[in-house]
Amino acid sequence: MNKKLTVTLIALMMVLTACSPTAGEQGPAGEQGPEGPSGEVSQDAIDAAVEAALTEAPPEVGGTLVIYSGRKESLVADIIAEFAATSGVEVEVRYAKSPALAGTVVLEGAISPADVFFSQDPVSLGVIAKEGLFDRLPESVLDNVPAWAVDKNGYWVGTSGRSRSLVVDTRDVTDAELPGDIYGLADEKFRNRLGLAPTNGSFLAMVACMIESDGEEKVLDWLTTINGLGYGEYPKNSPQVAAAAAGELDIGMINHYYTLRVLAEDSSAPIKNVYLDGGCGAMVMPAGVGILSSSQNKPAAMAFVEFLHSKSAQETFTNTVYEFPLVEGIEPNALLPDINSLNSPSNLNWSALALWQEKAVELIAQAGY
Amino acid sequence: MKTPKLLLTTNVLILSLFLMPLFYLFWRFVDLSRNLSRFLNSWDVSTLLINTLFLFFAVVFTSLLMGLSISILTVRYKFPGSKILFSLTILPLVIPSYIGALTYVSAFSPKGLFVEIFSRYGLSEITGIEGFVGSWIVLTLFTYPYVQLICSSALRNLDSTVEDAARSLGVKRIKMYTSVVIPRLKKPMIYSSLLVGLYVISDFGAVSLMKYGTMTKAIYSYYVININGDPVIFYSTILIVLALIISFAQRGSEMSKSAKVSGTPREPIRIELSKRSKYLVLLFFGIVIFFSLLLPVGVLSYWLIRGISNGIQITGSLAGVAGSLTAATVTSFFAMVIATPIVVMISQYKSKFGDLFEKVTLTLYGLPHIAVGISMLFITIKIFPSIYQTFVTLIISYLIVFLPQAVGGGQASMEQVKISYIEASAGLGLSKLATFFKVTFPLIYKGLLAGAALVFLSTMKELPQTLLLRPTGFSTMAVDIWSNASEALFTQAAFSGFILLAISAFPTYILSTRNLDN
Repeated sequence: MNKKLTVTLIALMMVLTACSPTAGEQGPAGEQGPEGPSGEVSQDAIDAAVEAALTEAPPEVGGTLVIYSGRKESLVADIIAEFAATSGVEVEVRYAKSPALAGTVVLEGAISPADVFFSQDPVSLGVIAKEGLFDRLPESVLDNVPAWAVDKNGYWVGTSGRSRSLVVDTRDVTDAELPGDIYGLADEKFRNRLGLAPTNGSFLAMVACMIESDGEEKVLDWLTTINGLGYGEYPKNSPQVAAAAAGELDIGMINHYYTLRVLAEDSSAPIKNVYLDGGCGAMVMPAGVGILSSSQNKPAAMAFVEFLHSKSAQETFTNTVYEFPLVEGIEPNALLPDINSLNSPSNLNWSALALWQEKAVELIAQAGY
Repeated sequence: MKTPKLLLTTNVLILSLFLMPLFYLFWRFVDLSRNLSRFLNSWDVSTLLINTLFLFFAVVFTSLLMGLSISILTVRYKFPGSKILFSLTILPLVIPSYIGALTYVSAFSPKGLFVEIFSRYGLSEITGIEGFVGSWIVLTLFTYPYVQLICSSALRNLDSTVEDAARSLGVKRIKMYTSVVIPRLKKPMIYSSLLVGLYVISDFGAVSLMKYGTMTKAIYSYYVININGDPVIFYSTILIVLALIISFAQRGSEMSKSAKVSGTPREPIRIELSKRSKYLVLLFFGIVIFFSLLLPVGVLSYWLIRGISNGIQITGSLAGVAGSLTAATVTSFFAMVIATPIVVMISQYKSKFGDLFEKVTLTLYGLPHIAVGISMLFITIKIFPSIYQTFVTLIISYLIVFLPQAVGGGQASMEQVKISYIEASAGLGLSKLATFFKVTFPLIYKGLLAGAALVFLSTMKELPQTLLLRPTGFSTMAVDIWSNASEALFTQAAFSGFILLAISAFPTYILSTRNLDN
């Protein structure tokens, strides 16, 4: 009976798989290859290519591009729509949290339907880079942004910068009581006054950075103490800012731009950003993008990466999302502090942080979050 | 009669396919269990388990209390508007827990809507409702109708002469219920608490929004931060085992038939209430209806009206409506098709194997959606990549958990199909297949349709599986509500929420009352 059952089961599954690839939604993306039909390259073709390069005509791209976006729909939908409109590429976007998408890409491996991964944080990018699932990006793209915002092996490139910060309720928190670094938050005077988002990619990245620079034991100790003090758990950063503005939360561990978004709408909101002086709590991270080796439409993927460095996209990042632009010559939004005034740990190795990501998750769980 | 081979094979095949998510998780779990002690030390299994069980018992208890009170009051007592109040107290059934929780979180956050309304009376801040208390309140308010439906119909069939006798012997009212009525309602009470209990341990939306650390919330958190880690599999398996234990406690279909209690049914005497008691009863119903129906619908309306009057454009939400309707239509159609041979086998060809088969099929109902979703995600990536992130996978995973509803609907009407009909048909020289189409199907298609309608409604509001398995670019109302709410886009969330409630309210009401009348 058992054997029979197994056999029939397998047979059924085969039938099922055989009839499914046509299931519309996920058909292989654009089939046109980048190479011409024959190996030979005529002089005419070279001339045409040179001329095209000189006149900077948009590259010939098309087909379908599947983007896994760890960046929120409300932040990047317009930019992606602009890319779709100007390039003629049909874009499908899967929005989820960056770490979830990175994990999914790793799980999918070679069968990943995604062409590019657009991440909120460098650690999630590092998780994929570590598995060797990204294509190396050309120098021309990597050189668009400062070296700290680029993967050492060239597997991904930064698109905008974001700093860790504390959002504080200015009615209930004085500058004097705030610590210089993140470890200072583990203090009795902050009992029931702190907020954090334990599953947020940037928070995880910060914890990974702390493990890398200070060692597991110290980080576990810090996490346990914060947990013991009582903290407000938030699903992500933005509700912490809202809670601080509403007077429900004194200090939230967030990324800087959420506060600026609220202040841009209502400059009288009783909140402000505090940038810690050094250490992982002051980390400035790139959001970034990488092209998957398994991509079926690399020309479109590359066009998308380049588009994120365009003047238009960079200006959107800084003026509507309040992030630091990374491409030279783009004026940062007036609400932003000078990026050079921030005391972020130098020489952070994003790939090393990715290695600590799993440990960070484990420590957070171990500390009882 | 012996079960035809073709029928048996088809059913066994389908059920094995549907049990795959279970087998897959167990297989992975065996692999993990080598370092079981390490898991138990590093992860807070006991806390999550205790939190989950704590919520389970609390919600089951309060749901029973509310559901029973409403049943006894409406079935045994006379007071103005009892019929309409009975209907209104059933309606919260259509509100998915995530919509309920969302409106409660918003209304009762420290500076939420409630404070806003009462600020003119000097109220400036309240202790927000969240965590255990929040999950408890919300889940009770949206699950007690299960108890009400099942217990009230049992109570209606319960011969009231014993109660009259007890009353004439001078037994006090409360004593009469605890010693005469409730013991005889034991079976429907157990059955409905199991339904509520399964709902509670599988619930993902309410506990996530209330930030209460249960198994489902842990599974989702681990999925988000590290899907490839062991905890995802570990917790999913534990949750499934928990659900299986609860399901098996139900002892199969035995329970559902127990509502018919022996005794000559006769028109029960409904007792006239004193004036003061009438007011108290009406007040009780007022409070229940306010918190379980008016408040959530009110908050949704408030968001929608405020948003629209502030000129917020409702964009993209129609794709979610279309997505939900498409998914629900396809799923309910296939549920009906697949349920038919199963119903014929277990009702018409009664056998030991059929009984076992029935039990296993019904067990699917209680499987926590998030665990099934996680398992399907792994299975499609690792074993069947060609259907990964496709509509096909999504529909299969809906069918796995909702098939029992279609089977249940068919089974109810199958009772009309007498063996003698089939034998007569065979005697007239009709083949088995012809008999099915000419005799059986015409008698059972209404029940199957009712079952399919239940599947339609459940599919439309399903959340965790949809979040995990949907094709890129495909959305449903549930997903729209969830993702808009998590970005604080409440106008958009309210719009989808309203449409979802509007589409499901009437049919849910008709189906839930109709099924019990039969």
